[in-house]
Amino acid sequence: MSEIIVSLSSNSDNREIDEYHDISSDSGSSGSNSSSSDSNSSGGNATDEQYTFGVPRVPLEELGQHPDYIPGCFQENHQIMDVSFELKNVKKIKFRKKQNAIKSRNGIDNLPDAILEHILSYLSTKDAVRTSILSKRWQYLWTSIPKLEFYEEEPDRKTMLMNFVQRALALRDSSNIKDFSLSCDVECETHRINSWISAVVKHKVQVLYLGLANFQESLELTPRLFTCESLKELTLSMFHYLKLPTTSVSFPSLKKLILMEVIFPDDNSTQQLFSGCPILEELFIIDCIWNNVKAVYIAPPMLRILHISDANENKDDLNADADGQNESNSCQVKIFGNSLESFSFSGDHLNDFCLLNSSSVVDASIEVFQRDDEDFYVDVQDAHHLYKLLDGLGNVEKLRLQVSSLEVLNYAEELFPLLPVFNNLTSLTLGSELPIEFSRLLTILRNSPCLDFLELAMGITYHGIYDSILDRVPSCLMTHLKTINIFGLSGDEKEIHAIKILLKIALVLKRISISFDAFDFECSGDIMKLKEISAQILSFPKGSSCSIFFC
Amino acid sequence: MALELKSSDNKIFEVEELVAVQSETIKSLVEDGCADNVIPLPNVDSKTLELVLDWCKNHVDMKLDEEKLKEYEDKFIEVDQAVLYDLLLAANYLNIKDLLNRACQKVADMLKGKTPEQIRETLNIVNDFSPEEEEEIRKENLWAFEE
Repeated sequence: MSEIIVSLSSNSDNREIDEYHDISSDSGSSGSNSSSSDSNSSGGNATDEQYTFGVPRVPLEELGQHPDYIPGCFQENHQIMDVSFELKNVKKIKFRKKQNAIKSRNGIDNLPDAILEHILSYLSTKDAVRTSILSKRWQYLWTSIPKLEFYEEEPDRKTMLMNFVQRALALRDSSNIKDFSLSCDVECETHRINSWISAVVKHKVQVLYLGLANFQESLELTPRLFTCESLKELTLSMFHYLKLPTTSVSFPSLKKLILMEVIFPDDNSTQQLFSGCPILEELFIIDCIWNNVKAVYIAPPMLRILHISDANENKDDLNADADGQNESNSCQVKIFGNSLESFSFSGDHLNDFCLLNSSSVVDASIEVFQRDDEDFYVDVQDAHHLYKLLDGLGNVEKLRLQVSSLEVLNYAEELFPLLPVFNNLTSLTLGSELPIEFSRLLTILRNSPCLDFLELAMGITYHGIYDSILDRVPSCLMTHLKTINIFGLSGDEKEIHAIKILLKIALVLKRISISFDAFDFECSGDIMKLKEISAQILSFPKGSSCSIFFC
Repeated sequence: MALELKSSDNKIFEVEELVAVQSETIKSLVEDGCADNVIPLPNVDSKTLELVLDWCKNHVDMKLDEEKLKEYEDKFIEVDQAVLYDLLLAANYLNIKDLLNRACQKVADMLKGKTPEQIRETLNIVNDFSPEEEEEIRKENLWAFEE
């Protein structure tokens, strides 16, 4: 049973109590709940009237009727003030005088609660809670901080964490929780977790992170989450079906959505989710499972940033009858990027995704890598999809293309001439398993008339003969290209030859950086070889006055 | 356009409007047309006001140079606790968000990684808990205290 103790000053007969009270008003050791309007009780508090001493905002007897009270939660023992001090003790008077002398007149305790809470929000939640032990003033300050972050790595402290989250939310006053982050094992606690989500939604949460693992029962997230009006940023990380409510999904304030490892259950609810975010600006879909989705579209009108990661390690773990990967040749997910500025894709095939209306994209990064089980198998469909994608990205200014083999472009040889002209492209980064072949590079450069920066992540090589008369020198080499970075050189003849030609025809080059693949030069004798090659490159005639750097 | 601000100890500071409106409080006074005369700031003394105005001025001057600004901020906030709290109260009263945030961050940094005893000493906080009460709090908030 807990008790609320009446404030000291109601007993005005005892002078010593009053005296003690005068000084102690600075240290905030006593006082009453400002909401219970016992104005006499703060005694001679000369300072700031915004003060509330270290008491919970809701007296315990009112807790049951408080709108934010979650029934069935941890009952707290709100022992706030203990009247049983032996105040007649002379020692105490001396102690108090000494305290008064030492204490700075302008100490941290003179700051109003709101500022202290703001300070606490810069600490981790754990550190903030630890301030509860500093003094009575500080005991419950942590219960009002706007940012709460709960995670626990130690397996034997997980129950402690769960109980604490319960406590933290129970002690919460009506102040808003701006930022709430929870990483925990779900096990059989789905009901509890849903009650917490409901609570933070009620507290008008704006940024919510849920990292849930270890499901021992099925989780259906509370419908309250999916109609949260205050939510601006939501991250859901859970390798579990995302069951959506049968009622509508509506996130009127949601600007950023991050979904990790989520399993989309069916077309309908997936569509509902993406259609329920009218002002969405940033969308991150990371390693989610689309097996159960036949066709959806993603078309938030204000979407600026889109990132899709599709590593698909988890796919194999799931139901084997969803073998959509190899069969589907139509896109499952159509993305309408009317306002899209930044697009980034990283995965083992492009087949599931289709980007339409992407002419506003300024920054694009496409990374298609090899699936483990297939050695240099290149999906022809991947090539088609890549071309289609590039076709829609004609206005891009910065492009990063990392494909398992740029030879993928060769698989659809007939499409190569159809590569769009990138009129605005100023920065290009190319990477693949194999070095890019010189004539292929020239073709791409011809289609990039304003290119200023070129980076080749996997070296360069040379097949065939370069005829300076027959092969048109790409115009960017004559007018725009100022910086070239080449990584992963192995030092073979063909490579050096390609660099030689490049140095000759790049007329406005300012700087070229050449980096050798450490793997190819491991042995000590190779240092000599490295020096030889570097010297050789430095000796080549240059069409420009560029500097050559070796790293 | 210059504004005149009067500190609690009756010192007058003349400042450019652009600098002064870093304070949302002053900004709304200006917008409401109440800034023609001297603006009294009874909650801020001259010493603190001088510092605050220096912050505001530098934030206007170095707006485009993030690195330089950060360097300035880090140096600026290296002050005594008493001054720091005065800055906090002033930033709160004048509603200057970046100063308030930086000062709060500074105090938070003073708390990080310290034991309760160390914090009490640094911040001059009197421990008014009995040992039993302290023990109770540790138990109730076990998740935070158990290491």
